[in-house]
Amino acid sequence: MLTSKGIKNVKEGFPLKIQAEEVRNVDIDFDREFISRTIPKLDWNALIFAAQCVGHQEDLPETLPESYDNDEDLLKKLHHILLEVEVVNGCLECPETKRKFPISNGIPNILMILPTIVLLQVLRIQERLQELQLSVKSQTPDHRARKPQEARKSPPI
Amino acid sequence: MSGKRDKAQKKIARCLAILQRDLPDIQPSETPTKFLFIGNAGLTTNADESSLVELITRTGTSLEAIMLIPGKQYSFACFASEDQAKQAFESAHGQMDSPGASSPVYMAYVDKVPPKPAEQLTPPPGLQIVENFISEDEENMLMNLIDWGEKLGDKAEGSLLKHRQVRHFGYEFKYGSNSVDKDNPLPFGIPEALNGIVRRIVEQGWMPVPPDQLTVNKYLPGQGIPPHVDTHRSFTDEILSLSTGGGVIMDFRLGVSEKQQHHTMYLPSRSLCVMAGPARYEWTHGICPRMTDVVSGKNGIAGLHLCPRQERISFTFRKVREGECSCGNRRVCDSAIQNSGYDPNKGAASSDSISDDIQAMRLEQQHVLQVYDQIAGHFSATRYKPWPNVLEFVNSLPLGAALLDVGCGNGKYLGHNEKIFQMGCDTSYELVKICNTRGFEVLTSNCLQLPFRDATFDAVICIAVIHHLASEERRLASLKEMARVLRIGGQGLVYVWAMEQQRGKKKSAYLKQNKANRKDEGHGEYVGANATNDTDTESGKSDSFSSGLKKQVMQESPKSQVLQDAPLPVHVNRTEFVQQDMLVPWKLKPQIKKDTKEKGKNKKSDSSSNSISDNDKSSIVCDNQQPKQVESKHGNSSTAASVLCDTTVEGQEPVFHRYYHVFKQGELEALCGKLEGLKVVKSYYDEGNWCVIFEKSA
Repeated sequence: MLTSKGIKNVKEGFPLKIQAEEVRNVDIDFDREFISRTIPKLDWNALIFAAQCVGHQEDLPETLPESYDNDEDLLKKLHHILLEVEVVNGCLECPETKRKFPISNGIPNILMILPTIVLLQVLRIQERLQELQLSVKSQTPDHRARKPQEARKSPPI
Repeated sequence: MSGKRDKAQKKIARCLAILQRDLPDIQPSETPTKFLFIGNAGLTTNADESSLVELITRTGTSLEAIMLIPGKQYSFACFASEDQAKQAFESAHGQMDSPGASSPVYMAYVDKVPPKPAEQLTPPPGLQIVENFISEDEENMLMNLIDWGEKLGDKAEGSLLKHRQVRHFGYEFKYGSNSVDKDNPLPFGIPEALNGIVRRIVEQGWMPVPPDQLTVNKYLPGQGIPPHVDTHRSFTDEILSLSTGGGVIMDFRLGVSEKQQHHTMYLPSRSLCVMAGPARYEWTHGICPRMTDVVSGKNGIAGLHLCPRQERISFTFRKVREGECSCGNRRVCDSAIQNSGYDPNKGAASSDSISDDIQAMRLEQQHVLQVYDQIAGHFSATRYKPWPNVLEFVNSLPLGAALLDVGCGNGKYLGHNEKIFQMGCDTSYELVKICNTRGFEVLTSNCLQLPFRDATFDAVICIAVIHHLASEERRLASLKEMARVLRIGGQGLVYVWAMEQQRGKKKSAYLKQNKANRKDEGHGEYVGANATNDTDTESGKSDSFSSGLKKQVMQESPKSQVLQDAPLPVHVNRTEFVQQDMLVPWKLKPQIKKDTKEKGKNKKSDSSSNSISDNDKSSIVCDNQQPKQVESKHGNSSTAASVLCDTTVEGQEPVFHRYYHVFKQGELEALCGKLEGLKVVKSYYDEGNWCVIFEKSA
């Protein structure tokens, strides 16, 4: 469900490619109803893709069968991949910009805001630009006064 | 006589033809009705409301309403009964509406009148009239209070002063620069004779703190004041105007030309006119210089009355604002105009809005994001009790629902409803780590760019987050993002800190914590062993606040914080908010460091063990920051922490300042209202917070 759409100029930003360096399994109680309700919300292809990235694809069918609700086996596999397999370290890669968002200790970092250093640099550049603009402006009055048209005007009586 | 009648008939036929063309819905009637169409007397013929009213009511007719239509040469009148209308028709049809008019008015009965535009009926938000605010004795005292230096000759006809007279107290308002000289108060403050009234203003809650500026205006009949907005930068939100002498109609306007909204408000004598919010910041107010007002329903008698102007002295109470106004509304705010270098006359440069955004980001970076990483452990320790109403929302979600907690902090609201899939996100890695150790699915991200696809979640909660965003655009953008990730029909719950910490007589838990302090003010000691700082609006954790620290904060912390040209005042903890945008101190308690040894036992441990390395990473020093060393007995972790904190005092804990924009009543709702596809389902006040539940409808 994660996307890098927040990055400028990214159209879809989905799905993010998972590069897993360290994966682990946890034990979560199987809740059939819960899994069953969650399935319609999933993008099946993205799920397969994600499962592939973490090396658990072989268990899942290529397309979601219609009668998934009755398929206890499939539900258990989904439960496993959705809730029990965790990426501890690695990164998520944006499909369009190839920008990598790190995952450490199981926490992805998808902060897309500019870090302070860059912000400050942008501000400094802007301020400098304004200064330059002002200094250029203050030089023009001399030139304007010497315009040929104005020189030709007769002085007021 | 009959010739005149025929002429009148022809003319009225012409007028009616024009009406037919403009408003085909309105039909003339042969038989008398309650409504009269008045041709040849309208705004474009320079008809005066008062003269029309005078014309119609001079035979004693009771007139309910009169409508002059913008851009038209006709108007309408409504009466209580057909008889009244008939009376008016008979006396006024074919008559001159004013002595100098070039041609008479022509009337006809009609079956209905155009509806009054909705905007005109409701007063601008934030406007209130409090009648009988002072007694007649007080009124007399006030009217005689000031010596206007008048000579007898001034009142004689022909020598009437052209303009109203003005006196200032407390601070002088300079009409040239339209501002107050904050550094040079006048020798005289608000006269003592008004102490009782000033006290009444605060006690009744019209202003959170006593006013310190008074402007007295004396109006003679025929004098007025041009429409204006009181400058944002000079004064705080509430502007109170007390009327003595005669009553007057005040005009409120918003917008320009055809789209302009106009509302008239009658200010009776001895009433207090309260202007706050949009009525104070966006709508202009003014008094038309004329000799009579048309007032509706005066003295309990229905209908329109002509009220000739009388001498009126108004007393306007205001509080001088510290720092700049941060509403960012470049159309009317002098702070915003100055700060952005934006001259509304020259047209907007797009780079200015970008630099505004960067300024806002910078403020947030310094006074929100970095601070939370520093105080994460201590912060998490004080955030353990979830608010019942939020829990109710979370627990009401059905099986299989997906919930996103935007700005989840330490995960206080995660893990309660076992039937749902939940995720949390926050900008602070330290806080997110705490969530992770508690077993929740979390990531770090910014609320303005949520890394989720459209329509992913069934519900979103955002508790005490968007009041940290430093501009209205950004606050609106965060709501937009929340709406984006919600599926249609999904609901969101947002909590923000309220400016109004007191509802009626009931103080919020936040304020109540200060009870001890109020009694001990001036002692300069820590009251109680565990003096800590604010816990937002949670009750119980801290028992007092040291007035000693208060003094230090006022003296030592630089008032001008990140934005050099827009200094933010520092709030005094556990008191009422004076302004919407301020820095709220957080005194970091070092006791967390003890827990470093007890790993795994306590959730607080993680933050401190990693805080050193994170501080090294964040040793990017901002221009305005002066890193000071803290001579603290608590070891090197607080030295690292001190790099980015704002006040350091020898032997005491570092103080961080968090930026807040506290919300006023209705502000959050209005923000939601600006987004199409968001419908506000519920809006309420919960322990010092304004709360909204919205639903995505499209």
